[in-house]
Amino acid sequence: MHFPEDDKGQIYTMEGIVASVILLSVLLFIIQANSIVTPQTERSVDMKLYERASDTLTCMDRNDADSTIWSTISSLKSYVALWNGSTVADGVQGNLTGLDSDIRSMLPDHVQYSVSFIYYNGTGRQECPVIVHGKPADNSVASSRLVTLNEGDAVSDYWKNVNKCFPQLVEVKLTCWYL
Amino acid sequence: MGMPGDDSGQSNLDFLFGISVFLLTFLYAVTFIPGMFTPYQPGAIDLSAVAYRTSAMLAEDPGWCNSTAAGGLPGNSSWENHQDCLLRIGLADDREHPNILSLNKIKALESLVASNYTLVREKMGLNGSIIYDINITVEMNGTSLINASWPSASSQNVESIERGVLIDTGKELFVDCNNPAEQYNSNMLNVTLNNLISRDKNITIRIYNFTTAYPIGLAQDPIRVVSLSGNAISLPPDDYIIKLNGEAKNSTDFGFMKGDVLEITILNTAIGDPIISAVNIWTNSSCMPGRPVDYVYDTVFKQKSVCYPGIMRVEVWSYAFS
Repeated sequence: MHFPEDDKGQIYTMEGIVASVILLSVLLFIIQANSIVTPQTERSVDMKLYERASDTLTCMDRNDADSTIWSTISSLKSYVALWNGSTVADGVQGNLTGLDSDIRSMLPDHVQYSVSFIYYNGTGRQECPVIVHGKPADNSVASSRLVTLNEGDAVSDYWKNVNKCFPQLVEVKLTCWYL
Repeated sequence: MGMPGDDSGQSNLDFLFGISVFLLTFLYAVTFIPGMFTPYQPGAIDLSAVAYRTSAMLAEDPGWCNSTAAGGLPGNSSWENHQDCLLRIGLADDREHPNILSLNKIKALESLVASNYTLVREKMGLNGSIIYDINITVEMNGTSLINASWPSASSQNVESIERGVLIDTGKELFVDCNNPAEQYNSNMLNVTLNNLISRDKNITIRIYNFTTAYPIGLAQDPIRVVSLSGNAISLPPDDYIIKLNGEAKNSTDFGFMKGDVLEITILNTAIGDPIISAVNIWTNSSCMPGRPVDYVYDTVFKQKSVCYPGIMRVEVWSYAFS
């Protein structure tokens, strides 16, 4: 092989850098492509947390009026019905300290959570954060339950006036994440 | 090696530099993305699905048995009473209440594991073409409810899942002492047992919502049973358990008032032989309903299942993957 007298070999360095860039981008592409590498371990961890969140709401989802179940964990409906409409930016809304301690006792220690109520307020969908324990992390999961408030139920003045239409459907959303 | 004429070593140095840049980036990619090769570990994917499936079956399904051979109903979910014709193991109370586990079924599983672990594994669907091993723990208030000798887990590749559940510890008669539709003008609660079919279980009466602002107490010999001929006899203290706000009392000499919960359990030995028709609970003040309350079919005071939060943990592993 023969090169001109000057600047020999530079092209090999360039080739090396270009080759590494190509290889790196190929590797990145492979890692990002879900169909080839499925990160099952991470999904399974998310699934386990989702199950705990969902279980918590399932255990609280019952009708007190004709229920044959009594528990130290009160029903979701009893908390939602007595809520007075105020929200929080951080901490626990005053009506819902019981809900907070019930959820706390059902979830593992190293899990943090927030709760919001979502409903139709007459003009549109409204999401009200009522329990906030910090900002959800990237790997958080959310689980929801629907609670129906009927006209005959003992509900707070807030629910009587917010929409003036019964039955009122309220979605309780529980967001959980690992600390 | 003789290259023609000039400068042959220069290209080697450049090549070396290039390959080292490449290797550095390649090693960076391998070491800083640790999850890259984990999905290729054998078994992990399959096991988490099995663990989830088993936990879902146990928490949300009441199980199934076919008791025609034993003279029972054709198909029902009370497998804990018909273990000879068990078809599927589930721990839920019924299909309408997922995540509420029956203590009776948990105890039936405990005894079945001790006597026939292979059967348990088979009736959970873990004894197919791949044979899995399993370990189930149920905890309530920090105490373990299944104390059986499960096989010990292999050191690697154990997949576990935890479910939050309520544990149904049995039915109690709930007597509300402040119901506007009732009159509370008696110092004796008369609970009739005429409709009680099975007398092999303890009965528990929970009295709550007292209105008195000052402490009242139980009478002398507070628990009395009425025989079929109408004679009332007082029960000795070892035939009943009295709890005040969940704490067992070893004497009847204590006060209770507004906000307190009284739980009175009468042991099955005291109501079955001889058969008695009613249980009377005497206090020293008029706070009890003036009419007889039926233990089974009362229009106002109902039996409810008393549930406490708990955790069910399922561990699954298989020697096929170790």
